[in-house]
Amino acid sequence: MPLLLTGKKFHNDLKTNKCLAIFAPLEGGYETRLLRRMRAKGFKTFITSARGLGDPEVFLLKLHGIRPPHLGHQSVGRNGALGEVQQVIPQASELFNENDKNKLLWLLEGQVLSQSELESLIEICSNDNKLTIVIEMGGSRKLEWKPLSNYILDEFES
Amino acid sequence: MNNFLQQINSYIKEAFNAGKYLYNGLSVTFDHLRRRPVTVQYPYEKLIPSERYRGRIHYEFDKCIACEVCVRVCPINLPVVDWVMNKETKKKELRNYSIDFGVCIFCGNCVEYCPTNCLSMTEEYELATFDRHNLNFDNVALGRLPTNVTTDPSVKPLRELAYLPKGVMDPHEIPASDARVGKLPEEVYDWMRPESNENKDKVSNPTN
Ligand code: SF4
Ligand code: SF4
Repeated sequence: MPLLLTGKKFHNDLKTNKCLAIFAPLEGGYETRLLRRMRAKGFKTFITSARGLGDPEVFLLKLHGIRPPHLGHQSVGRNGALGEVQQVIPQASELFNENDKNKLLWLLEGQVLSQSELESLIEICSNDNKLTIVIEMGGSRKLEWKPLSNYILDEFES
Repeated sequence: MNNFLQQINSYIKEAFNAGKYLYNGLSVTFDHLRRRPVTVQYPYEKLIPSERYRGRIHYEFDKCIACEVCVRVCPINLPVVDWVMNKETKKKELRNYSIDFGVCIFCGNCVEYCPTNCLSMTEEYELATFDRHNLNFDNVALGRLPTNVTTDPSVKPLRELAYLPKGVMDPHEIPASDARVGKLPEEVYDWMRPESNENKDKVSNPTN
């Protein structure tokens, strides 16, 4: 358990790489600890799970339509199957309330994302110089991380 | 004197009974002393779901013909098929498809009835989110390959009870080579396959 973690190295790595793939002990607890340390260092943080995201860029950062389920039997016809399309605010919108702060978006269960989706996350980070992303790519004995680009190289292109 | 002896006698009896009850009670405990718990220690060990497990639904956008059969067979009309009619080609154009797993009861009707087999049940069962609205999977999320418990090296996958060798109750420390009880579909097929014409007659006409 990384109880005495200062988060200094993590902070430096995050600053230089902007997009980190993290491997953490399965019992959890490290993410809130690191998030707290990053908040103390002036980051605005948001944590969510990558599972269930549609197109990650659109769902996290842009206005997007969702189709809520229609509960209970209704007419089965054109209107039965498609209720309404609701435009909803981006899931990570609370990160963007204060624009001058550094932002940290923490995604859990990044294993579900494909290579191109992970690459799009790197792209998002390089377009916004205040945004950093940490994505959890699996479990491990001890807390470790590497730049997401290195992870993609190791995992998909070997 | 007699009274005194009787008292001693009943005292000894009671002491003996107390010991007996203690033994009876603890024998269950001692019986389990050398046994490992069969409990699956969840984040470190995970059960491999069976072949017919009904987990998160996988959906293939390219195969879907927007027929809405899945909506009709669903007990709660859950799938949302967002299509528009293309007036020129007189064909449906599928724009989006979504299922809300916060509402789905994983009955599998939609999978069973989909005419193009674009829906399937997967073994993915870890569907925890921070917000119930994140359970509304759209076609991109539904189209992702399911995660399984054997890919993460820090998770120890364990076999379910039905997949353990005969008589084994504890999935821990069973070598992967130990065959499960009963035959796999391929083995049943091998067993059924007639080797010669002679056997073929036997199989097709078992009364001979
Ligand atoms: S039944 Fe299958 S093909 Fe028809 S709309 Fe549903 S998913 Fe698409
Ligand atoms: S599994 Fe059952 S409840 Fe879920 S979408 Fe399919 S038919 Fe509806």
